[in-house]
Amino acid sequence: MTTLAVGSDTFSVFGTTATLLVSEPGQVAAARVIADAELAAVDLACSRFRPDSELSRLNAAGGAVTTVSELFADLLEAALRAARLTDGDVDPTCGQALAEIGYDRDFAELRAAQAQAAGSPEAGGPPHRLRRAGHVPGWHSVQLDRGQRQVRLTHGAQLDLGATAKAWAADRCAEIIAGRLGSGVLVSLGGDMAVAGPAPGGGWRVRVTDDHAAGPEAPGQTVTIRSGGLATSSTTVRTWTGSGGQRVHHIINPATGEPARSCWRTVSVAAGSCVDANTASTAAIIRSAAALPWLRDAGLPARLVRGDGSVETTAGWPRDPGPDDAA
Amino acid sequence: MRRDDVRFAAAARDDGMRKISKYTWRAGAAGVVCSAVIAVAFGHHVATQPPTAVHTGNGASNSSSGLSGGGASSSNTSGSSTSGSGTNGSGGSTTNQGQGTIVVPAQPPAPANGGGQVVSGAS
Repeated sequence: MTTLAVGSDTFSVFGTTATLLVSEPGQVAAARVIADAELAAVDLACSRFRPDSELSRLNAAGGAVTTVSELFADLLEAALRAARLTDGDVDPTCGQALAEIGYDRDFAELRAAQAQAAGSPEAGGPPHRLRRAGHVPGWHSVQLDRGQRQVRLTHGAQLDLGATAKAWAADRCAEIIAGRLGSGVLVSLGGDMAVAGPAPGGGWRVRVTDDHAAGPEAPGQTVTIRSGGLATSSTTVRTWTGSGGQRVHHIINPATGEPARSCWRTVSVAAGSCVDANTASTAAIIRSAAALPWLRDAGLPARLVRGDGSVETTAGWPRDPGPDDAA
Repeated sequence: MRRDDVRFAAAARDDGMRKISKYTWRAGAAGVVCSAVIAVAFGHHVATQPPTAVHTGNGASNSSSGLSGGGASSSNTSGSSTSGSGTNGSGGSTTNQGQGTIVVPAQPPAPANGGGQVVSGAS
């Protein structure tokens, strides 16, 4: 299978790595300019770690009605839709629960603080403690008047749009770049990717694995996609050490307020958009064994990897290759 | 029956009626107070019902929320595309993200050999 040359660019954003692939190599620079502008706008709207973001302002509003931008309203609407479609498993009100388990700063800063604490002789442990179950009031605590662009958080809800905003931004960038430049594009933000426009011959080749930073030959599976989105959620990557020395991760089960305990270590899902793919992959981690029939019933192609490395697939996802390719 | 007996009986009847009337009013007032307390204690649940949106085929939506004074208010928005949603219309078999399901892709991933141009993994 031949694949035409594509232009590519890789850069840092949202505390992770972004990759742009453009079917017309000469348009990479123009695509990057568009992506930079869009991603900066999304970051300013919904970063949990920027005091000047709209999300921080809303979280600090103490339940007062707050007028938000059109962009933030879009992002919040997408998050609430994800919550509704997953019966609340993907919940945007996990902000306080994440902070309570230590994820209260940019992840790079969190890792640096943990490394510093681990190397300090007087350090009795990591800088954050995993206390009782975190507070997740539930997505019903979010009131959004879409027409007036007004939001109110009740029951002490603290928003974290991390589950959907990155994927939503990938969709948005891909759509705008393809629309303006007329070329095919793949936008990957931390391994959650959206494609738009005409795909190159053979489609976009994607290596599906645990860690987006692992490289194109990492253990896993290679597939091609031509449209929509592909997202991967995992309990193995964004992890840190809790107070008892246990590893904790960032996917919160809203029912318990704690990191989800799942039989899957990694779930990849293909869907009509990146935000839908991410919604399903995140919910699948939280739903654990129940995710398999749920994904099958929904007709969503998915690849689910258990803790021991064994793989299940659903709804037309290509069968895993032999151990030569998977190991 | 002696005249005094009649007088005392009438007085007892009037006294009983006054007591019944008094307790009736007190019970009524207590009911009003209880209703007010319940309304204050649990009324916010009505106000926090999630927004509902019904999207039409052209992207227009009608949404309602409990923002205004705890009651439902409705507003019409037109073309409020959750932009990332439909992903340029070619992403899935259904492109309106507002619909009530996670949208399946137009076609599932296809198998490929070798490494990838890009990696999908968690970050």
